[in-house]
Amino acid sequence: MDTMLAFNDVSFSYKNNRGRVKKVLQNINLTINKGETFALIGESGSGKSTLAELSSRLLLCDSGTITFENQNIQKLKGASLKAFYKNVQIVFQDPYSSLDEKKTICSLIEEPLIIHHVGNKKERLEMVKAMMDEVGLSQMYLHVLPTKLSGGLRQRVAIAIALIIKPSLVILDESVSALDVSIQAQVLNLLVSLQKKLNLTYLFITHDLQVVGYIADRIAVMYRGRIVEIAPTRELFDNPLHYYTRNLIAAGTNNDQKEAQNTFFIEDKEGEGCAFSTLCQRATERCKSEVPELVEIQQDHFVSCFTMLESKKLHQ
Amino acid sequence: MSVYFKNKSFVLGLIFISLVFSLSFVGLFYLPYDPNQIDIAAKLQGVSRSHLLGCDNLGRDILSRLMVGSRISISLGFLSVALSFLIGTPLGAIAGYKGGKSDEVLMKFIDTLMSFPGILLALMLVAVLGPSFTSMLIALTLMGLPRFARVVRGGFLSNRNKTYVLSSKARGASTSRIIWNHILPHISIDILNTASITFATSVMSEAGLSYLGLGIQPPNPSFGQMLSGAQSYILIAPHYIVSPALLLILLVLGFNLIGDGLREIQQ
Amino acid sequence: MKKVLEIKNYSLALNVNGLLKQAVNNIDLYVEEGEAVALVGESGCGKSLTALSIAGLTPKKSQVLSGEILLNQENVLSYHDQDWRRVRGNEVSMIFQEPMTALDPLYKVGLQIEEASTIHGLSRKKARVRAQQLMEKVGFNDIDKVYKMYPHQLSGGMRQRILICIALMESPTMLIADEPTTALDAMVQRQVLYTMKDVSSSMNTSLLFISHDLDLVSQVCRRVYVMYQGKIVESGLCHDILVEPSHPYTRDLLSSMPSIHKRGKELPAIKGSVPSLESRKNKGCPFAPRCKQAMPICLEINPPNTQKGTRKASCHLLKEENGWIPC
Repeated sequence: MDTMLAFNDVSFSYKNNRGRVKKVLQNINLTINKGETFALIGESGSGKSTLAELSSRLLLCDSGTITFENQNIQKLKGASLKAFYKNVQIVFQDPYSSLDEKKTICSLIEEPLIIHHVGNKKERLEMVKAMMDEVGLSQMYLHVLPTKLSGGLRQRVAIAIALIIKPSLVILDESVSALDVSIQAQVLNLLVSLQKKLNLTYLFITHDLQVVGYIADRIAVMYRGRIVEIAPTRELFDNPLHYYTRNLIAAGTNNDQKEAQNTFFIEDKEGEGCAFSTLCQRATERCKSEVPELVEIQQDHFVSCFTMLESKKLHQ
Repeated sequence: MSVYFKNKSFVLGLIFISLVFSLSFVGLFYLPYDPNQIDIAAKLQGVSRSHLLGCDNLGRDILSRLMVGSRISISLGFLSVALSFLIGTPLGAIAGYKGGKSDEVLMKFIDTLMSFPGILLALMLVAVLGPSFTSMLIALTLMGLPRFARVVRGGFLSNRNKTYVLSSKARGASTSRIIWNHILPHISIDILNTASITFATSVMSEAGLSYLGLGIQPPNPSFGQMLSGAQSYILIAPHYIVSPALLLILLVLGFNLIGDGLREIQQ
Repeated sequence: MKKVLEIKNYSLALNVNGLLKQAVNNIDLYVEEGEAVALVGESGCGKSLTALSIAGLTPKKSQVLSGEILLNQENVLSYHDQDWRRVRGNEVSMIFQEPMTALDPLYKVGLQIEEASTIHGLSRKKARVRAQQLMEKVGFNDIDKVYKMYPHQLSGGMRQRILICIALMESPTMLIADEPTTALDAMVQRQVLYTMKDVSSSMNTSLLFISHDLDLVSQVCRRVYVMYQGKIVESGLCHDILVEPSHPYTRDLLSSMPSIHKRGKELPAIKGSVPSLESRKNKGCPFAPRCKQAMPICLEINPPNTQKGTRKASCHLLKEENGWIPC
């Protein structure tokens, strides 16, 4: 299996002017393989959007390395950096703010081609038209401003912009979350068919369990800046090991039992140890003082939990 | 384009300034009299067929003097605005786009400049360079510069993190591309607005400074000069002060109206 | 059971670029005492406008075309400002989607809850006691601590709970919640939902829940109304409709929703998109242009309102032979 994108012990914090440091991501380790749809699921505050920005190099991490096709993306310069920008594309969540409203659809989709010096004006127009066909956008929108398009159509434009340069990795940061249910289905279908056609690898970031269950090959669960579990989709749904994942799956599937936890945490409280320890039903003293590492408990199934580690040792 | 012409303030402002501009434009080719020709016999003569706006206290034709004087005020206005724009915009852009240390340093400089009252600045320059067109130009440029820098900085600060800007960045767009293509188009109206207001302020400031004797020196006419000369004769010969005052008001009001119009259009 | 809310044949038009366009189209809806009812639909269907109409908060550029809205048997469409002052908070309360903008950042949250009732005459002391009782009911553990906090110190779920307290301070007969959990995380959404249900039923307050998520509302609501383009296309018991929807829109909507069970298969998406208010035509069934089972008559004639047991739906495919009686 070819590794496309890998995070090695990556951490990132926000520092504001007054010197206050907020840890957003801590010790992230994950690998995305070529051709798969890798999903990152988590709530707001989990750091998943920051991970998207780090992956597309909009931000630089504080420590650790991020590699794309085995090259450290933070050390790229010149031609290899330009090549990176060509190969890794991102589609944002809000179709309304992600398109410059003063530009026509044609010039928006054309821009990546101009940035990477692809073709002349005539050739570019042809490529734009072909891409619009591909994503199901009528050519009558070519010289129209984004204000005339609905959310679903705008998101198609965003996808066209990302794909026109023929990337190998596409980061979808909550790209269907802002859409109506009926439009969401259309865009999901489009993404799936384009992936097959253009041989794409997806990093799909969302909070929506149903979407993830439908589209992802493997899922990483994030909680408060750390990855707590990674597993193939069916395995995660059938056999969630981390207690946070369990709660998430229970809340997402329509169970009559109210397995909901009392997540009344207050924003600034950041203690030592496992971030979930204050709410976990089986937290031990060790959980409150030490952070568990991500360990492969079962084949392809990684968890960061001391209790799970203990029970694995017991069973060996 | 048509949007602009539908706006009442904009159109009215445009009419006002056109009146004054055309007056000074005509003055480039034709002047009824030599503006500096003294004719004591015609001293303080009122409106007449030979002198359409009357004469000043030295018998000079007011209309001719206004045609030349407005040219001086307008050119000072244009040049100082152009210079303020050319210097202030890049400063504001760097401060707003980069933020951090560059922002702090540049803004301290701008704030220092802003804290000087215009009169003081002009006085200092006049003391060093002597009163002239050049010293006025420098003073007015320095006064208008901070406004451009602040507006451009504000525009860059609020636009640099827009999602579509990040989107372009993520596709490898260069900084210059982002600035020209994605930020400047969104703040162009603000810049035009600032230019408009700064022009009006420049003209007013020039009038004030010349009135105080710090700017354009006699016998060269300018709005300030003429107002200064006319003030002693308000009761005896009101026509002397009315014309320059009226033209000045038209010009300044015109630019302010254009600015209002631009702001309305933006919304 | 007594009906605390009854909307009869209500139509509301919006002024769009000079033209009057019908945004809500002859709807009938009711909520009984102590009942939790949902109003679901996608963006542009008119559900929020309906909710605003009940609370008298419709935009100025709107016009009521027909019908009445009976709140505790009084028609609110004829209300003036002083009537609304009497009724808001007291008989009807509303919670909106974005909790941050509904709370004043300058005041402690406890104070804001208290304020909600001193407007109508409770003494300060009694108001505080009641506020704290409500906070306990919505599930706060450390009441004294939270009471003294400012909105920005609380998480989204907590703020929404504070808003629930504010809304319920005067024990209104009806609580309208317009997408109250959409801005919250999935897990917190559930908790807030259950809290709303528990607290309101303990106070015998009826709940009208506006949402786009049919699945979510079915967890707390007994009955649901499905709206599309200003019309109610289907209504009935939540569980019935989820299991066996009668209207093609509801059916297509439910089947297009992604889930792990549909992996590997293309989602049966509804083709086309929701037309904007300006381009809406008031001819025939609003869903006909996108409906897979549309017949020529669907585009011409408005389908009649029919009823079968507890279900009501409006579709030409529902025949009298199958038990659908016009109503």
